[in-house]
Amino acid sequence: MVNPETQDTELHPLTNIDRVIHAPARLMMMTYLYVVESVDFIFLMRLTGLTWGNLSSHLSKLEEEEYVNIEKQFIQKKSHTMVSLTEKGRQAFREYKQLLLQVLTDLPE
Amino acid sequence: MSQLFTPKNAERKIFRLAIFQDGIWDMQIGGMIVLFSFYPVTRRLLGPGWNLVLIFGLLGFLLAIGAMLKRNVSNPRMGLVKYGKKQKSRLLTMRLIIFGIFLASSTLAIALILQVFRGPDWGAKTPEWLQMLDMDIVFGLFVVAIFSLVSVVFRMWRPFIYGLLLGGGLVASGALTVFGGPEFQYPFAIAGGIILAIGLGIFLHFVRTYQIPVEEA
Repeated sequence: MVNPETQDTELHPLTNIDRVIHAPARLMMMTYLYVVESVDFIFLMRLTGLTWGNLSSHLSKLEEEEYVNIEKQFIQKKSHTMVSLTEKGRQAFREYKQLLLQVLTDLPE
Repeated sequence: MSQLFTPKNAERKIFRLAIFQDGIWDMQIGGMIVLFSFYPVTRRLLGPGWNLVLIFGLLGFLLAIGAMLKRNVSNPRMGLVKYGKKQKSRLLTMRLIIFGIFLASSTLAIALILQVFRGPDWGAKTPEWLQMLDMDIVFGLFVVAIFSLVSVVFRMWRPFIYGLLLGGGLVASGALTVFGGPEFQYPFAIAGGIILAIGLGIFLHFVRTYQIPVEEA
């Protein structure tokens, strides 16, 4: 946490980081979702290596923030829970990337 | 060294899981090669017309079995992915490049048949084995090029090894046929059989490793 007496938002850009995305599991999920149109719940579970419960809880968090859209779809006569990034989620992910780049780009060796 | 977790590598992992993880691709490639290696034998037995019917019938059967396995065995275990525009265009580009390589090698093969590159002293200067095997070498290299491309794009060794097996099998089969060996293309069939067996092994491992997930309460 930043000391309120010395708080200066310009010099502490990381305080503005999106903590919903910043968690490693959710960052991984967002990265995978960013590069596809949509995946079903099982495929996302295989990709991330998370358990059903873990994935569900992280997805709920992302859904609360309206970063992902979760909907049941019938594909080849079978029901699939498809997950995709919303436009808000994409924008948040781009901003997150910009912020990290800004912090890390000029880091001395 | 482990791969960096970047969107590019994430995309590659998505392709690998969706296309290659279950071994169905390998089984189909291997099955097709085994099928085509029987071509000269069945052609002699059935004649050209019926042979085409048989080969295309079996090819259709092979593709249908692959689609059925994908739908009923692989998808419930691995799940589904809908590619974005960029992935679709990358896959399309790769298919176009493969088609381009195919077209280039076919053109080269036709040129060889028509003796375009053969000057008046071709026969005198070129070793006999090369004169007899030029077509097989062209197609062998074409196969190696295509599988190498797949290997590079998806960062996997498997397709490259398949390319070497098939390219080598093609040339060896050509050599056997040209120099009076058996009609059946043993090396090509063996290469296809190895790929089929690898695919089957991967598929069985896939079925054992990836159980159909049960929703937690």
